[in-house]
Amino acid sequence: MTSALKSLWRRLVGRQQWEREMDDELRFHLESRAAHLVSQGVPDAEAARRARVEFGGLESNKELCREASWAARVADETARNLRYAVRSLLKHPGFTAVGVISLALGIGANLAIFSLVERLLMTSLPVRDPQTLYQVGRMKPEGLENTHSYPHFETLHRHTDIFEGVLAWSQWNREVLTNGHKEKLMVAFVSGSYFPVLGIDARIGRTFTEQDDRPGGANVAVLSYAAWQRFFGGAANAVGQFLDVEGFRFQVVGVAPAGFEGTVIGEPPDVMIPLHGNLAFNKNAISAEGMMWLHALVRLKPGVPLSTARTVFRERGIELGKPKRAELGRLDPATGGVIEDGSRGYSDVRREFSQALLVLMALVAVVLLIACANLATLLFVRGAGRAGEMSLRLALGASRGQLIRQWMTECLLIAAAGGVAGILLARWIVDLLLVFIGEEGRRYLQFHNERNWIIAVVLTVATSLLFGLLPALRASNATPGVTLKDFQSSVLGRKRRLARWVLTLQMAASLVLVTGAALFVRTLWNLNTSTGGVARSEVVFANVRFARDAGPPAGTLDEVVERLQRSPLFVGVSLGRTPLAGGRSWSWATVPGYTPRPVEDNIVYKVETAPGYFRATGIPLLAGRDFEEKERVWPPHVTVVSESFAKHYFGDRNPLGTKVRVFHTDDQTEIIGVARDAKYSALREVPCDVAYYPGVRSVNGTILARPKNPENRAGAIEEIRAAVTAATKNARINTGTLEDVIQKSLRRDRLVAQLSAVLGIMGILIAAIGLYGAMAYEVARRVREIGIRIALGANSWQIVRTTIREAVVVTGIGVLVGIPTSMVAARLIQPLLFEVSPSDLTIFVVPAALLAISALLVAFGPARRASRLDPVQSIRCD
Amino acid sequence: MGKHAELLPGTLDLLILKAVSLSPQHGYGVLLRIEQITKEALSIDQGALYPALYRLENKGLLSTEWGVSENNRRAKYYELTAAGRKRLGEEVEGWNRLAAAMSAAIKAKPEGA
Repeated sequence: MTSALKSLWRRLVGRQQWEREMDDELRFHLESRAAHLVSQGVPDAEAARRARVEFGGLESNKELCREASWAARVADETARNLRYAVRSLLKHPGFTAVGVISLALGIGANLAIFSLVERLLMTSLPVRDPQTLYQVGRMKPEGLENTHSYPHFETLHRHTDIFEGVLAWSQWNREVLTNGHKEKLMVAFVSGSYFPVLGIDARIGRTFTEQDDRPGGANVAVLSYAAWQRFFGGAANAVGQFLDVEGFRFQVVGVAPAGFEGTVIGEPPDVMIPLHGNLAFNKNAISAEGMMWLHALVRLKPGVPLSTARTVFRERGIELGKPKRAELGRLDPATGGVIEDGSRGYSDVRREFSQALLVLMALVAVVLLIACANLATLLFVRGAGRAGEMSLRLALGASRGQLIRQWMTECLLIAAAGGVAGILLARWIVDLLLVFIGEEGRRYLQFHNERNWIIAVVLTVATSLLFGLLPALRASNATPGVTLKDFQSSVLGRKRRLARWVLTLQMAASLVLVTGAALFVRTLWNLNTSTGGVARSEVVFANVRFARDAGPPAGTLDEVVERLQRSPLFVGVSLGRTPLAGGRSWSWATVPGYTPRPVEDNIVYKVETAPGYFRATGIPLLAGRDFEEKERVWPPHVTVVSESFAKHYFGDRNPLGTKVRVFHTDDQTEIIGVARDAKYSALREVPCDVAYYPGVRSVNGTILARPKNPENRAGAIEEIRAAVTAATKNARINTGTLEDVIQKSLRRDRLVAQLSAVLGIMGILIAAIGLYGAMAYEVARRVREIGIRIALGANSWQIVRTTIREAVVVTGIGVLVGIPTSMVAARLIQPLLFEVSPSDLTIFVVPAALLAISALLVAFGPARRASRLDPVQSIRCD
Repeated sequence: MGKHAELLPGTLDLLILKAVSLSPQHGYGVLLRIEQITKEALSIDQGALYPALYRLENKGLLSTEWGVSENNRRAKYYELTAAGRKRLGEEVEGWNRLAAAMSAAIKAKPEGA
């Protein structure tokens, strides 16, 4: 007997027979041994007993036999499967390349986005009980508004029945002289409660207590572990030394433990100073009611449920330091005074990107799904092509399980290659993402390798199961002994139906991707063409600051502005807040004769200006007049309010001349003008109530200018710079165009638009490959039939039509499923859209048409080839 | 009859291959043959013999066939395959090298004595 036939025979015999044979063999041994012993003179009964004793544990040895046999078989089969799979994959380089590349892109993109999602959204602060930390603030369409003034921070402190502790901080880059090194470091001004509430003990020395953070407290500092290592080499005598922060001396009292990186994700402070230490830099910081310079976290009291805390917090009307005045309405309970998760600390990047990353996560998951569906389709096609091979192998005695294992080995091999390539790709994709997020992202969004390996392995196995199992089950379903031709006609019909469903799913998923991309690209377009109510493409700014006590007398900058105003180069020059820039200050508006509804937002945003501000920024005055030079006093006697403010409090009445309270002062401020609504801090915000006021003449400020020729903004900036340098010494000038500021604020929208466009194209490409593969196979399978039809007189168009029909059906159903799915998805991503209506049908129809056209184009290739078949050749071939 | 020596790990396979190479054997025959060719100097754990046989069979080194024993009973006979014969050659060569090296090492005398 040859060994091939023998192994075949062995496979055909069942497990029971195998067991019986083993029993027979071992019994034969025992009996032979007993007979041998008898022949040596041992009595019969004793011989049988001795034989068994010598043999040792019968059952345990049987088990060892089973194992030896099984393990060897598995190892053997796996090696054979691998060899076979490699050979088979190399034989189909096109299929293999498509599989590996599409999976690599899919897995790589998933890994990359996930690593960012994990770092930004899933990592808790390394402090005591991070899950009981919360942020408090006001919910705005753009996200939680969670900046606080010092007086409000103190108010929060008083609610000891719901909060166990409250901590606040504010951190800035400041020039620090440490042990002889002078450089910009991250300096955090932290409340006395900061370390105790976070539960962080000093590594050496001590941290702060409430005693350090009060008026007249000593100027003390705590170093981060990293700063301690860097500047003092980890020496214990660092405690007691002095640092110099922009000219002010602080004594080091302790070092924070290693691993503590503060409460702002990605911006670990190097030096920590009590909040009152900030008085050295800003004398108003502690008392100013309207200065929102603090971030805060509260720790919920143990045993107080979150829902209770939320209700209590709102009912007390303590939202955001709102003063208790009868003239003020309550904030909307759904948006005012909310308590939100703070376990992951504070992060501007997260605030800005979390939704976008989740959407991208969903998009890349869809891409991976399409890649899997695509491989499944191609495998179905190949499976049908290999039906003959399968039924032959079944006839030769291979079990169904073996065929499935064989098939899955190929899938796993493709997936493994895709996974490895994906891991390599992921690094690049993360780098690409960081280009969009900006350099500040690079500091902390490193690629977390260990965990990514696990995820990569899970993704690899899951995807190979996803795309391999169904076709494998189908293909192994062949019946031995059935001829290839019979097989194709009987079983293939069912198989092709399943393949068609997978193709349809692929089409629908790519349509969702493309529509998503269209929505985001449209959003970016809208944002780029929206003016925000200012002369966005014309305004330039120059922020001028002087080192402490090194600046010129107050008003020097105003003289520079007056000189520039006379220049023929400009339409307008002024000083004030840059529109749409970060940073905000607000207060509460009270208008005589106006009774607020029970729930109403009376917040008013404040904008510091100077005469000429409206001309310089291109915000038109709708009524009234501009400020005059003599009105530049604090507190201001006059204000210009926004259109929204006027409508809110006056309706159709004329607001001019009315005295209102808008600036945290008891003084009544007269409305002298109404300006058209301009966006305050973001293009996508809804117009808000704004009060403009004339700022006093001071040392530092931001010059805003609108050149006559908007093309020459660079020249205008140079002109301003030259004027400032001519009038002052040692000015630190930071210049730019308003467009730059806006473009920077659109980085998230650019990221999402560009990435989703790439993913959409990828989705279409992969789906097209799948469709092409299926069509090409279909034509190849029906060569003879098509040949006969051509011979019988069918014209090319008829042939093209019948071949292309399947593609049309698949695409049609895909589109029908895809459009409503896209509509649902569009509602989910609504917060990321801008002036795109999810009920606008064109945004859904155009991508669908695009997809349908590309699908038909792809299908047309094989169909055309079919129509050009030579009938004689094709009938002969099989 | 010498003293029984312990079997070195890995040597059982070699002994089985050698025993079977002389002529096809059933399991008990393999045991007797090993005792015979080692002059009963090595003790073979009878129970451990079968897992080893199954392992070698599954590696494709041995092939099996049911036949009739010398006392007219049905018995499973083991025979070397081509791969088994090749492996036996390799194992013998490896063993010889090891044995030579070991005995040289043991005979070594202090240098410069």
